[in-house]
Amino acid sequence: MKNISLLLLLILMVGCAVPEAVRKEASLTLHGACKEMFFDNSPNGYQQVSQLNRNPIMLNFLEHSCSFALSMDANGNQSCGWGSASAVWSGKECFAGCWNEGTSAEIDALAMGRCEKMRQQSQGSNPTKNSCKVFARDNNIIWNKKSYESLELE
Amino acid sequence: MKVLSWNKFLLAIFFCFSVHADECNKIKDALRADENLSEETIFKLNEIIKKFNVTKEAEAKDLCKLNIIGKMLYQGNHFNKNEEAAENLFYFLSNKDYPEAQFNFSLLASKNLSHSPQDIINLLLGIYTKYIDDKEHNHLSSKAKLLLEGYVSNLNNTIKKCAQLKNKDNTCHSSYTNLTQKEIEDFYVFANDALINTNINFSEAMASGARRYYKKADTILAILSIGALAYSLSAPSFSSSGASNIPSGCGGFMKCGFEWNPMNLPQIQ
Repeated sequence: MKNISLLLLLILMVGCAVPEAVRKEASLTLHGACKEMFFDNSPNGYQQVSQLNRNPIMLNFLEHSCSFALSMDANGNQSCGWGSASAVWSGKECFAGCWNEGTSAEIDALAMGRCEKMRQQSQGSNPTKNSCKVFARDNNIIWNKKSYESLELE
Repeated sequence: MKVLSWNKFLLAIFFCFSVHADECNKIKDALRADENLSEETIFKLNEIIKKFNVTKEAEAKDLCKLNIIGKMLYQGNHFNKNEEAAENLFYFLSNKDYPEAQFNFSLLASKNLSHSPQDIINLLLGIYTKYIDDKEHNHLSSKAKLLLEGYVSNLNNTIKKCAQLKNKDNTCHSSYTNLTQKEIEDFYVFANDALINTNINFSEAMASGARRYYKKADTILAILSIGALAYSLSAPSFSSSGASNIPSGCGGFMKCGFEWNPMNLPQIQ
């Protein structure tokens, strides 16, 4: 029984660990509190929530379950925030059968909105420059990877 | 009989729409994979654009295919390349509230220097906010945001491009040619502030929704707790007398002075 518990614990720990490639890539950009927030593996942290939310039912409705937004000023100071599908569901006061509530764009907007609030608190009243943008969706880092010039017709 | 007719009618509508949607998706997939379109598909697309050119109207079932024709016109794929005709077609479809065409029109308009920057910014902001909660089209919202940020950041270069075109006797919209550095900054601030405020307002709406959600959840839990308490007080207790009615170490399959074997299973002696 003890062995089974240990095995389950080990599987959970391995399942929730940040992949090494993601850790390396994210560490190139993130530092300080934002790095901590992105790698947070506590029960309500970004890593746990984004990985626990990723299941076949949810991925049928949403492309990703969490977004992490980041802003960086010229001096390298960072502000960040993240949003999840479950936060959008509770924001929409959905109690049951919420898979079809909320969109990927709303998860992004929630992350960016929370990041903006943090940025306004740290940078004061001139918030237009260096606005928050999506850094990663789940563990897929998209920071500086998508350019408006690559946009195609629908 | 009436019910049967209605059913047939609904089935026909459902079938027709799903067939049209399927057909359109097949054409999209074929174009995406650079596959050749069948003779029949090309004939159908030609019929649709011919009809549109004559009537300047389109049925709801043809909007998707007209959007595809717009793309083909812009790319010069199966049709002679005609960017202006493509943009006009997307503009027509945008007014029919066709989401993909609204994005396509804004994308072409952002490259075409004959439109006012303020109009393009307003259009992209509109797409961003309109489709953010749309389950089918929310990707357009993300694309519109990316396009808007790129467009306002690149306005300086656009104006330089305009000056070069002016030398070649090409004309840009007067809003471009007369733009000052201060106005470029103002456009940048206006667009970014609008995006920031939209996101902040959304996150605040979600936060207040979540507060109501947790309050409701607390109320439900409190009601359930009161119910459980009331039940435990009113229901007969097996342990309140201080002595258990079940002999310790007995019951089930164990023989302990009384027999309890409803399924008549063999007993452990």
